[in-house]
Amino acid sequence: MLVSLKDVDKRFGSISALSGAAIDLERGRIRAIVGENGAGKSTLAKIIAGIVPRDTGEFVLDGAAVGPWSRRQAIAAGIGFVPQALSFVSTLSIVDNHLLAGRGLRLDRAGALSRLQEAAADMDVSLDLTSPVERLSLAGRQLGEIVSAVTAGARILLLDEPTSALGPVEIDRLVRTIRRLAAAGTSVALVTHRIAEVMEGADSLTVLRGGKVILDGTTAGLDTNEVARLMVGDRDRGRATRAAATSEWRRLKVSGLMLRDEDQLILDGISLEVRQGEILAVAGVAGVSQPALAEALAGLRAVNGGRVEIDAIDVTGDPDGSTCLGLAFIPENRADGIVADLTIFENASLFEMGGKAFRRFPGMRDRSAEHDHGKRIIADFDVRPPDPDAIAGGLSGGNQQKLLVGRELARAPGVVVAHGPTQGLDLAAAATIRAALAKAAAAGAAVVVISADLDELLELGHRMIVITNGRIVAEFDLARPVDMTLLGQAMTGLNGMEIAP
Amino acid sequence: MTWTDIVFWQIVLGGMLRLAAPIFLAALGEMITERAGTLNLGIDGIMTAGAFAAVVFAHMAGWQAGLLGAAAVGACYGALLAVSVIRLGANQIVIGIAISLIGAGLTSYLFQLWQPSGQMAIFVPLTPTWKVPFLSDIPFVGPILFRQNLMTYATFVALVVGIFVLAKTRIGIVLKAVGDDPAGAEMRGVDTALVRYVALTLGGALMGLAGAAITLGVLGAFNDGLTNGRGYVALAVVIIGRWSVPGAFAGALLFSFFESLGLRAQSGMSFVPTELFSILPYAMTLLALALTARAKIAPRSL
Repeated sequence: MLVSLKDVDKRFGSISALSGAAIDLERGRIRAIVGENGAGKSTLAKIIAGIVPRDTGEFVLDGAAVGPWSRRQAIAAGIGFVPQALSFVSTLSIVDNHLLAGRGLRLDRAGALSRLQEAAADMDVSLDLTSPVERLSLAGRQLGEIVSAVTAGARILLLDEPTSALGPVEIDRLVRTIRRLAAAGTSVALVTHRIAEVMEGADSLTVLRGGKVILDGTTAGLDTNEVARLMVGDRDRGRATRAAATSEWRRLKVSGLMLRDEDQLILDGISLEVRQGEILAVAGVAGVSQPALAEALAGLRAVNGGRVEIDAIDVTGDPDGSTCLGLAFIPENRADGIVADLTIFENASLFEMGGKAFRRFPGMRDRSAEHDHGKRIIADFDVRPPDPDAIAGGLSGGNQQKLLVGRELARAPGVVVAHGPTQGLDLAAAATIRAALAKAAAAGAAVVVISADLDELLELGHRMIVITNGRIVAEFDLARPVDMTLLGQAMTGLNGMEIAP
Repeated sequence: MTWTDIVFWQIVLGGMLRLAAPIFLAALGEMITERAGTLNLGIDGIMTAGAFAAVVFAHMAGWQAGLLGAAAVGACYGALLAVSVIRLGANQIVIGIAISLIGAGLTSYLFQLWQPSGQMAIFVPLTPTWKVPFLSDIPFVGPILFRQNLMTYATFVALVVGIFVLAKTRIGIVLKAVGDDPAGAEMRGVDTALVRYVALTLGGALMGLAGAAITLGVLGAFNDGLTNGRGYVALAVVIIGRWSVPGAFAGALLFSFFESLGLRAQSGMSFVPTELFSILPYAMTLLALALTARAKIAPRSL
């Protein structure tokens, strides 16, 4: 037994994150830690990684009891950690970030570069190791962190939602890498909400709910549906329904969008139209094109050519204009949409503070109206804790996302651009958000959903386009059954031709 | 000696290197401090204190003691700022200004105690000048570069060591990480508080040495207000130099070139008011600052 935790309690203020939790990590074994958002999975991993101190409880490492535990001590003990929020310093390259976690004064960039390249090649991924990581996609950063942790030769590897930004191909490569590492003796803990990954990759399983361990056992002979039921408890899972789009009103019109970054064409003539009440699903292997498209649609990124029109008004590169015309934007990274230092209710009315619905006198905020609005979003989206005065930064990732989506959709938007709206969320929260997006469309919005989760796109969309290398390579009408072979070819860039709907 | 005389330019450029030492050392200290994500606005006061300590210790035990004393006094001020800001959570701008005022005021008081007004000024010998054999015989360039005061050579060494350490050792990326994203650095096992303590203390020591470069490298004596606001110039030079070591050196040379030019030109052009020449280096620094301020490359947690 490498690591053994018993009776671990952890509270954040008045919220109990873990109570009496226990976990064992063994050499050469892969353990999955699953549970809903806020179940305490990340907290458990962070305690082992030395980032969050435990309140009480026993922590045994290599047979010896561990006292106060810091990240530095954990690194020295060979505990690698890839946090969900990612830990890379954004202005440094992957190589420099890797060296940052090292020791001593020597800086062996060439050596580190070749070791990282080797690890990346073993994982069958290609990464830009020498540019500042802020220029990489979320998937690139996530893979970079994993490659760095693997290269550092961790004995114990903790991965918190390692697949949240990855496409199916990359997930498959990651699972293979983890298996290979375990076979070589590494102990791996995989925090995830994707049950399929668990069944495929892990040897043993810890299910958490409300900070308590519900199940601790091997994955052999376990039924997926049973695990899902244990995670969620007995709760009604809402299901999004799709109403057919019949309107001819093209609310969002994009023509010939071009975006160049140095030599690379990130967007290469993207043209699309989304009608009132329609949900357009945008698929593609995670890369640079998806974030660029999302930001270009929201007017947040300057483009080299092309137009974005909302209700026939040109809003290219004009975030204020598009917001005025009723654009709701759900960014890929929720930290871009939520102000962590403000309360839930302040975040809920952020763009409308002092607006008509939120003032008694011109120029004066009406806190009680803001409060009521915050409470409505909390109730509609099941934000926990249900306290409008709670600081948004203290919420779990999933609850921040619910708050963000709730705020954007509460404005009765005309156009919705959602990028990875349910990324890293549990089943119940994801279902809530999908239902809300479907409802926004039914209420007359034109909705664009960009996601790495193919099931989500197939469930939500009326139409689906696939973007590869900055170009729309395929389009599918989702009212009819989709030819999965064609879709797979389009996603992997095997098939470059346009496919008629 | 006129503008067209080659010796005139030889003297101006030689003086430029000598006068660059205090600006560069102070700017280097501030740059290290800011790269770690902290700000030391007390530079001018720390330079004053260092300049005075250098004279006192040099008077007692020679120039070597003077340099050590100046560095130690500067380091104390840097550590004081570090403890107030990191440990006690004080506002670094307020504490920095306080240190600037204390540095100048306390030094002035101690100077009065040591050398009451009306007495003969105490002069200490300058740090030795060293003629590099052969190299100093190169026409024009030789006397400028290789017939210099020890403080000037120390500046060259600081330049090379600074560039090397930031580019070729792990210290460089640790500093950048702490200055840009302390939370991320902490996640990757860096003790950000320790890095900032070291950066502020070392930065203070360099500012103290910058003061010594004025008294032991140029003047040979202490008088009140001798920094002439060079600490604030160093602050500007860090920005002009885009938080890089060679950039800070270039910024320091810009200021000291016009300072040196002003000193020499005063004698040759008596029809121009001398005040105009005194303003020149500051005006040029301001101009350079205005032209370079657009770049967004400051450490992000600053």
